[in-house]
Amino acid sequence: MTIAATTTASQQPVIHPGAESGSSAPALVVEDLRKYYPVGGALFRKATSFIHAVDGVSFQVARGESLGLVGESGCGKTTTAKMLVKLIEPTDGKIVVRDRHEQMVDLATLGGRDTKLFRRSAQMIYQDPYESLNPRRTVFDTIAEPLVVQGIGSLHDRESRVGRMMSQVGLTPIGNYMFRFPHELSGGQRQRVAIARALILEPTLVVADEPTSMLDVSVRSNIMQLMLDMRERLNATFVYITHDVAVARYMCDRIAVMYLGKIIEIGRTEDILEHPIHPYTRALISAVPVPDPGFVRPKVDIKGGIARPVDPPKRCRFYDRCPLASKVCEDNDHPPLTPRDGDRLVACYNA
Amino acid sequence: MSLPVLEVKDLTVEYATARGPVHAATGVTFTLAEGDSMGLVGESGCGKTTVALSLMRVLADNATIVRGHVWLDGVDLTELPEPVMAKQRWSKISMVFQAAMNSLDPVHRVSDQIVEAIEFHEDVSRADAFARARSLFGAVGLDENMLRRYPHEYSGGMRQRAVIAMALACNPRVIVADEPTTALDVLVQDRILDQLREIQARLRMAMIYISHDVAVIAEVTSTVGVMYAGRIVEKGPTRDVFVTPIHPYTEALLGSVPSARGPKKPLRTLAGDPPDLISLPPGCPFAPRCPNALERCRVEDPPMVGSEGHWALCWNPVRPVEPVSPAAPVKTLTMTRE
Repeated sequence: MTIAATTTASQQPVIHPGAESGSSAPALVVEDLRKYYPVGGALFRKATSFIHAVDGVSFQVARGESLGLVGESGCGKTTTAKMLVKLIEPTDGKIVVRDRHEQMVDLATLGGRDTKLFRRSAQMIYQDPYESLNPRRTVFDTIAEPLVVQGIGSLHDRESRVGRMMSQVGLTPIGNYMFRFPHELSGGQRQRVAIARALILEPTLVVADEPTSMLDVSVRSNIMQLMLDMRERLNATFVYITHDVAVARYMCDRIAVMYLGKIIEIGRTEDILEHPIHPYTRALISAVPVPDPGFVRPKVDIKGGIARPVDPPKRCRFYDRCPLASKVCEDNDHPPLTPRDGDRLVACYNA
Repeated sequence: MSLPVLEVKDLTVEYATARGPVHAATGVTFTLAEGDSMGLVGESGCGKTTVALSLMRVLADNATIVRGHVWLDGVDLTELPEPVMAKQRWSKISMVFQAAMNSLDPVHRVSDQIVEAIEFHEDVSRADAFARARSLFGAVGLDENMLRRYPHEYSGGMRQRAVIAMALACNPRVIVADEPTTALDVLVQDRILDQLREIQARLRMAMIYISHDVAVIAEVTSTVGVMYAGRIVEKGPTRDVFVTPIHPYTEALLGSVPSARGPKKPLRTLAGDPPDLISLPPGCPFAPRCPNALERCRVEDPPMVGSEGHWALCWNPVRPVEPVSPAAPVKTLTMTRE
């Protein structure tokens, strides 16, 4: 049954709070991932400074699990996402993905042909459905394109696969939408097309970069529900990029909070929301407005604004803004992620 | 009880397009007293920005105010000739736009822009105007060294603060804030909301806060109007509207918002898309998506139900409420002012 068809007065459609992931074998392993961008270089002058967009990020995601990368603009979450699907090459570090044949593939070793095959296993969903769809292609052309590129199926097969996919993402009746162009669709419908395109190859890894942040609230919950359904259906591993911890709460089993290229706290979503440990996580969660006029949020107690990580000093990235900053933080390198209660990791000397 | 500062009655705005008139705002009515902060919440295309632009009389060329009045301290803004309106703008009613970058002129120093605005409206010396700009910067939490810089030297949050400072420059009676923090990160938003609330309370300005973000509306407003398809479909004290919504759209809208706090409740989803404002369906514009819709919803305009303080336009509300007696909520305005 499609999402769109389920709205009636008697059975109110709902998103059920996160079904917990079962399997534990890692489907994505990221080790010490780095991406530095040179700044200040010129034609015959080598750049001497670097923006440390992503600076030593490590995490694992199990098959069927959903990990949220959460943080403010400039924290490196989108750069990380693009490296996961090999849209940009890391400066250093390792990404290993379990592909559709259950092989662990090291992205750095992939050549051109293998990269193309890898794309059957890993797909990305983008933020803005107004920009991610080609305005001259019909819905059918857009959704079928991955099949065409990968040379899968005859035209007839593709038609039926696209049709099935469209009904799964709620673009029904199919005949109504198949030959429409993006400008004839609403924002929510466009994002459904983008999701259908990403999922038609039945990828095992889906990286979604703020897929609902451009959508209106009432449409957003539909798309969130759709992504949860599709994740379950494909048993795919999801990496979900978002600045909105409230959305992450519904979409992610675990979240990793990023600050200036570093993961500063990672753990189960509910644990972190209920009991954030790192002072930045605490501030981030306190700063989120709550849709309840009676709720009084705790004061946010960090100072200053986010800086550009150009050749950052070795000490903790959060030092300048941190309410807990002390001599230890100044004298030592950026703190390593260390285990706290349960399966939580926190990068802080003082929290 | 404070005097009403702004009274809007039956404001109806259309945009002329090749396909026909777009009914962007229909019959919008509300009153704002000194120190009030009222929210207008709704999704894209619901008419909230159109209302803001009409109050400021800065609508696009193809837009017309078809009906209705906007009284600011008893003066009908819709009837003022443009040069007179220009004097009211910023000195009586000012606006903070969503895209702060577009409200600042990139080739002039920010100080010059604020000083120019003050000088246009008031007979003050340049030094006094500059001094006021400096104190405004203090009020919005900007370093006064930033005054002499150009907009591109500002971060997004700083630009939005500068724009707020500019909106406050001439001590307006009403400030219209249209999604002032939407493009900002949460930590920056948090501070700007704090400052906006503090300034608004201190200066006793009336504020209209426009946003699609239900959570922000919950925090900064005391009353709220929920807009759908160009109409205010429910209005009341923010707390009442959030706790006991009357209109099915309000209930669905609030239910679809994820919260980072409290119990993790299941999220509502709402089928369909907002209506085409060129060819609106007869009856209630929400009827095609409404889980409570009855036959008559698709035929007749919905009545006003609830109470004078908290009402909705609906045939089949989500909780039992009384009809509002026809004369009550849309009071005719007292036009006498000394």
